[in-house]
Amino acid sequence: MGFLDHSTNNIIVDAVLTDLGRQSLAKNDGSFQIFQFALGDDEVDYGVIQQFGRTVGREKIEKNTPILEAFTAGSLGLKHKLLSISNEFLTHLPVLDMTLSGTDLTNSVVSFTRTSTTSNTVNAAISSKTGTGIDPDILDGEFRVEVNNLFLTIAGEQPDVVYTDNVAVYRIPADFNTQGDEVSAAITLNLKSFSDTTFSTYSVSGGSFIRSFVKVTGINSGLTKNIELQIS
Amino acid sequence: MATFKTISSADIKTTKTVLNQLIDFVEEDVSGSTSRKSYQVFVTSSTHPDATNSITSSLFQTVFDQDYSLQTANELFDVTYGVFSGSTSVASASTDTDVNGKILFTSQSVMMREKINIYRQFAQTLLGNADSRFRAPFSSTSATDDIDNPLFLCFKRLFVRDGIKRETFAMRFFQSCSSPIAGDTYDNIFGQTAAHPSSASVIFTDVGAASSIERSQFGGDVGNIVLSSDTTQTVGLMFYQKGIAVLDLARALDETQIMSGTISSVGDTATTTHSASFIPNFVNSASMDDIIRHISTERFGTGSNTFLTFQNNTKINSTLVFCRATADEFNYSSNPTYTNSEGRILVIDESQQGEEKSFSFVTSVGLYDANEELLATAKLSRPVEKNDEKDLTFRVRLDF
Repeated sequence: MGFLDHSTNNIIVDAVLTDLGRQSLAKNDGSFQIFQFALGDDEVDYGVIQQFGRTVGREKIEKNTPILEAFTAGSLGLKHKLLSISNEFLTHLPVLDMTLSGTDLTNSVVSFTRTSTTSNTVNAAISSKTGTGIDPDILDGEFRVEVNNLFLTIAGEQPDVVYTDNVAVYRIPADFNTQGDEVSAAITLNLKSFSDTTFSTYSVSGGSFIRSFVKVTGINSGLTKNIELQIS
Repeated sequence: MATFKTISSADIKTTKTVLNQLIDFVEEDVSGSTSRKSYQVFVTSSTHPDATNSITSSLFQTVFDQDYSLQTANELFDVTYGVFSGSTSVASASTDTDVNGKILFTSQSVMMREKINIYRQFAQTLLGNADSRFRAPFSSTSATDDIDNPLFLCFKRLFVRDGIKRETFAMRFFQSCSSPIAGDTYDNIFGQTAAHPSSASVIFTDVGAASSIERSQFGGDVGNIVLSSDTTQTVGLMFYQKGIAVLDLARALDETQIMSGTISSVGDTATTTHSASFIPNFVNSASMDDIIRHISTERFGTGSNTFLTFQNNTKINSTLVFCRATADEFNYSSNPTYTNSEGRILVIDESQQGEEKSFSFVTSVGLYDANEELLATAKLSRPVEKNDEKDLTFRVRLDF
């Protein structure tokens, strides 16, 4: 996709149906029903505000952020959503952490082996790091988990939807702790059985493992974390 | 929910607009043998005692925008020719009618019944009755306005879309070929030596059609095609919704000009030398392929200029979705750069906490169903700031 022309003062809105939207229209069963909207800011780097201050930083973001045309792939459409929170003086948002057996997955990977380790349970937890609790507006009741449907399933769950690029979306119920300042869920990822041909097709250069990713999003807070998987 | 906002039914509107595209066709596309496809589905009967050779021909030919053997070629329009069963052309060539009503012709006349059937098919489609006769002007009741030898140009839906816009049609046409010299072996049917001076061409147009709206019950809106230099001279009809132009060859070109050259034959030899008037001799004696080839190579020009143009109509049904973000909504972001590792919001100075309020930028709008599945996405050409002093409405238009 190219960039949108931002040389004029007019704001151009470039809209497309996603593959799922077209599929819903084709079904002709009334499933194409626009019910709600969300706003996103995928291209924006708020680090600019910290570097240049609120006034200059705002101007730099507005004028120096070219925007890509809309994607038709539903799984790539809106990665980072804006949030509506009634507390207008909120200074901190909760943080989403992903762990495997207590190990933070920010800089490490989850390993699967086709012959032995075919299951891993990762833990998703959203918590406030300031000890002030999570604002009720962004308390998550569910996690949305996106996995590659070619290789993985989630134990005990059925995907809500499978996009044409083989991204399967699951919804996993979340648990609240007694203090109400942490929301968590255990997500058991099961490796599917697939052929050596599939393995060699999708494996990285050298052919020793397949690299895949799991995206976990708090359904209400919009907080997102991607973790890397390696299947050998 | 903090990330989604329900859209009320009052914020979804539907509208209809018409888009016009300018279409033009180039001379070399119609004159080139590789961009004009013949289908060769018709073979003359060999049972006639005079018919020692058979002719294979198309019933129509298709013009492409490039070599039609390439997969990237687009079909532009189909060309075919028809003749009215009660015309003098048919009367001059027919010998009898058999007991089943089949008109019989001499072997010197080629594909006459097919030419009649083509006319009847278009009459049925455009006038509602296969026995009807085209007349130009359309509303005329005078026999002098009959179209007995029409050329049909059927433009493809890819270019016509929902119809041709009135009063935008124009085409360049050579009314006469180079004249043969007596005793010379000159060929002006397929123009091996003919060169057209540009002054010989005329412009046919549907000027005046926007203010004089006529309608066929079966063919939709109809306009008259006239000579641009003298709009009182009508040369054909344009059926706008069907995307079909009907050109009366008797008026569009010099019907009495001697057409001299070699055409396919069912006689003793596979080809025969022809030297007689365009109507009725040439159109009766030549196969459909020969007639279409002559028109395509000799009457539209062979260069890189445009010979035919029109504007089409595309009716676009749109859904307008108004996404309204009030002052208190969407002022925070889940963007990973919005907070540091401890969750502190970076757009608020650490020293100004409790004083400064957060803000965000909007670059995308997502439209979702009730299951939070993304049905459509919209991107803004530049980031728009959202803060607690701004009420924003994004108008997202989905075209169908």
